[in-house]
This record gives sequence, structure tokens and C-alpha cells, in this order.
Amino acid sequence: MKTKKQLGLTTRLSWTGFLFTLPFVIGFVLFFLRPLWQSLTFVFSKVDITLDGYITTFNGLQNINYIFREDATYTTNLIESLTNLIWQVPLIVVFALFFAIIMNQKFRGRVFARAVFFLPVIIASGIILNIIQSDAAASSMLSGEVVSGGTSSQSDALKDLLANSGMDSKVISAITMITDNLFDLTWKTGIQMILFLGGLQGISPSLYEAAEVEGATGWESFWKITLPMLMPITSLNVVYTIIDSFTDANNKVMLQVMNNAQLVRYGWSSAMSWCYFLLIAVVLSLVFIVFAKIQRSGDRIKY
Amino acid sequence: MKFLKQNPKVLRDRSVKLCIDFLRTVFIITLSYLFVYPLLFMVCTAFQDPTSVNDPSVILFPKKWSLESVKEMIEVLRYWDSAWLTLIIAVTSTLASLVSCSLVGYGLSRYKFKGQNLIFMLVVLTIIVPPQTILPSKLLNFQFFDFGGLLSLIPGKPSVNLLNTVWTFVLPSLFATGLRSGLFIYIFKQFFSGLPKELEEAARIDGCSAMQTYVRIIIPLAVPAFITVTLFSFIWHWNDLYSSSMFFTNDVKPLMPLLNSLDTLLERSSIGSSAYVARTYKASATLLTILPPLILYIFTQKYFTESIERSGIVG
Repeated sequence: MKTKKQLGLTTRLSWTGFLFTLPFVIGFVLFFLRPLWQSLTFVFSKVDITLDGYITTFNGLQNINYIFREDATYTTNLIESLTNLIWQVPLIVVFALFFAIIMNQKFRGRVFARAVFFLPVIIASGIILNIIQSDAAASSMLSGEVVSGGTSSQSDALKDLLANSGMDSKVISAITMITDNLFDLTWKTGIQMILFLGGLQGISPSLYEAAEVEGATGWESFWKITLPMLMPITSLNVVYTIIDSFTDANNKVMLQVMNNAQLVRYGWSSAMSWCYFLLIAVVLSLVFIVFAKIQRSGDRIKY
Repeated sequence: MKFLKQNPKVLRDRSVKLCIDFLRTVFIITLSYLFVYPLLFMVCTAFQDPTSVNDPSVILFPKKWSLESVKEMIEVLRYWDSAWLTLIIAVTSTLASLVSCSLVGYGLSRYKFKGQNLIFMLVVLTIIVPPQTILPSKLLNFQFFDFGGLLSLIPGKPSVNLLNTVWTFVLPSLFATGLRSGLFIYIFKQFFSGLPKELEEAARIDGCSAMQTYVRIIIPLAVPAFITVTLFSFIWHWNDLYSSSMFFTNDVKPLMPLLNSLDTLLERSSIGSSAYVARTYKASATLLTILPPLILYIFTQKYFTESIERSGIVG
């Protein structure tokens, strides 16, 4: 005696699937969509805190006007953090790939080397990096020797050397910018290196064996096998490096956003972070387009 | 010379291999130096006698070891309270994320339903939107928290203030929207997709409910993914700066925001923040802050280095 019509198996399964994702759906509405919508309204309004809540009054584009026209540092910070992103992300990803390839080889002391190379994952925090870096720099100034990468005396010497060899000043400043930040960049490769390592171990050894039989050198099989096989992880790593820079303690735009929020200037703070986010969204979509193109051209070669 | 003529190829291969080995060793030693030296330097500075910190003849190991600056910083940072707070935040949020994110990842990877792709797109959206964009309004929401309007149904108490409590971290984590929850959902989703499809069918035929299948069959198989998420969640919560400095306004804060405002703290204490004298104090504070995750790393190092490979995120 059936009182209720039994639901079909697929319908039941699809409901179960939805129930599993329900925590996220609720959380998305409560802790993401609602604050996101609110902060969007904050961009166009004046926010006043009262005893038991807050009042927003619409004031048009005043906040946007303020951050770009009157705030002394926002525009420069925005440009700086974007340029940093553009030249640092490729370098970090290339470094990570390089480290991963080395860590993937078999050699004595590999366990120890791995333990050391993953240290940055644990201490990947901008504040701590700043402190230990300035620490080492201060001591090198005291004892008159260069302790770790990125101290001024070292890059001055490099500048002189390059200038004497007749290089263009723009090229020189680009090179010294990279050497000055070498320390920071290597410290930011932790997670990306782990991801690449995972990817490298996923490549079937038979591919390399086949290439060797056909007479390919190690160099050739790197460009023809390793790199194409790692493309999906490379795109993942590029995206991860970009989103990781949001929470970097040296990201000046984000520090400014936080400071303004702590000073209860919610309108300005929201306007600043939304403009930053829109620019990042443009960068991310460019990344997606580029990697989709690479993937497609790779597929064409295969077939 | 005779040997050279006999085996040119073998000899070349061998010398190339030797060269590569040598270069690799040099490279690894250089990088290890780059990673370990600053830490070693920090530890040595932290245990140096503050009065002799500017002695130029001290290169690395102090001539006079002392615990003075460490003791001082334990007081300035209110270390035991702050570290306990940070630990509670990291542990409870990690547990909450483990439960919620694994469920969501499981639902997204093993079931097919309408709107599934949309939900996954929303997960990706939570990953790529900078957390700072929603922090100001999140702050206001927590200050006047009303459970999405539920509290307004009860007259007389329109909202509760959740600031300065661990709930600011645990509540979003419970609903899979906490600190980097999107990434954890992604990790679980990738891992669960790699398991054989027949698992659920067999369990269903044997009469397991969906939840039973998940708890009894899927979780035991997903241990690597759980370990990965546990480690990263703990580390990221411990190292979080932005959310914790927004949500905690009292003197007892998580350690990262304290470390960020170290100059102000030193200024306020009897030490002062002049660059050279304060160096040992800063090193001690840094050491105290990274000590717990560092200890965790030493004991779980093997899982860290193997976790991602085994959890199949990249597969």
C-alpha cells in the first residue's frame, strides 16, 4: 500500500547531491553574496555606524572620485601592485617549475632537500619575511658583508658592472629589480613547487622511454613532453600565484583597504578593493584566454 | 688517451652526468642556504643578549646566550593568551572546513544534478574574489550579526556582536565559505573524482544510505586529501593577517596581526622600537610566532611533502 509515489532513482540521487552541497549554498548566500552585495552598495554610498547597526546613504560616484582624484597614494599603489603582479607571477612560476624538476630527480639527500624546500610553505607570510630579511640586511650592514640576496651594496655593484659594460639603463633597472627581489621570489614558490612536483610524477615514464628510443635528447623531451604535459598545472599555478598575492602582507593596495576599513571609512575601502578586483578580473581572464589558446594549439598538433 | 679513443660516447655521457650532479649539488646548497640561513639567523638573534646585539664581531652565533628578549616578548605579545587564541581558531576552523568542504566536494564530484556547474562556478568565484573586497561588510555583519535575519524574529535583541570571538572564523568555515574554503572544496572535488564509480553503486545495493556510504566508504579512502587540507588549513589560518586583524579589536589578538603591529607594541612597552636595539626583540617575537607551525612541520614533514602528490589534486 503506497501512499506516496516513489521518486525515481536519478531524481533522488540528484537531490542527495544537492543536499551535500547545501552547506556551501547557505554559506555562499550568508557569508559571501550578502557581504559582496553590501560592499558594492558601500562603493556608491556614505556609511554611518549607529548604536545597533549602520546607515548607508547614496552619494553617487563620490567615493570613486575621492580614491582616484584626492587620495594621494591609491593610484600609485594600484599601478605598483599590478606591475609587480605582471613581472613576478611568471618568474615565480618558472622558478617553481625549475625547483620541482630538480626535486623530482633522484639524488642523495633528497629527503633533506625536500624538507628544506618546503619551509617557505610554512613561513610564507609577508610579515615574517620582512622581519627576517631586514634582520639579515641590518647585520650585513653592521659587519660590512653581504649576507643574503637583495642588499643595496650588492645591487649597486651589479649596476656598476652592467653600466660599465655599456648596457641600456632600462635593461639594467629591470635586471636589478629582479635580483633585488630574488629572495622574496624564491620564498614564494612553495605551493607552486608542490603542485608541479605532483604533475611531474603524473607523467608516465613510458613517454620518456619512447622518446629516448626515438633518439630525443633530454632537452628535447623537456620541451616536447614535460612542458606540454604540465600546461594544465601551469595555468593552475599562475591563477594560484595571482590569488595568493591578495593576502600578501606587502600588497600595498590591500593594506590601504584594510587601514581604511579599520578607520571606519567603509565607502573608500570598498571602492578601493572593488577597483582592484575589477583590474585583477581583467588579468585573470587574459590568463584564461592565453592558456586556452595554448591548449588548443597543442591539441591541433597532436591530431 | 687510448681510453678516450675507445669509448668516446660512454666517457661523454659520464662527464655530462658528473657535471649535472655537480651543478645540482651547488644549486641545492645555495637554495638551502637561502631558505635556512635567515631562520638560523633569526633564532640566533632571538637568543642573543640584547645589550650585545650591535657587537660587529658577532657574525651568527651569539657570544652570550640569553633568554631575556624571549621572556620580554612573551609579556609584550601576551603570548600564552594570543597563541592559545590562534591555536583555537586554527584547530576549530580546520575541523569545520574538513567537514563542510569535504561534503561539498563530494556532492560536486560524485553526483549529477541541475545547477551543479553553477555551484562549482560560484566556488571558483569565492576563490578569485580578493577576501578584502568583502571584509568591510563582513566586519559589519559580524558586529551586528543576525543569522541572516533570523534573530530579528525575536523581539528585543536585533543582533549579537561576534567580533573578538572565534565564531568569526568558525561560522564561515562551517558553511564552506571560510578562509580559502574554495580551494579546499577544489582539492576534495579533484580527489573524489579519481575514485572508482562502482563504490557508491555497490554500497547502495548493499543498502547503505548516501550519508553512510560517505562516512564508511569514502572517508577512509580519502585520508590523503584530508591530511592535505588539514595541514594547509592549519597553516593558512595561523598565518592569516587580514581577516584576523579586522575581526579582533582587543589587545589579545591572533599572533600575525600582533606581529604586524610590533613596532607600536614595542613603542608602548619599555623597550622602544629604535631599529638596532629592537632587533633581538623582533627576532624573538617572530620566533615565538612561527614556533608552533614549525614544530608541526617537523613532525608532519613527510605528509607535507607527499600529500599533494598522493591526494591527486593535479591528476
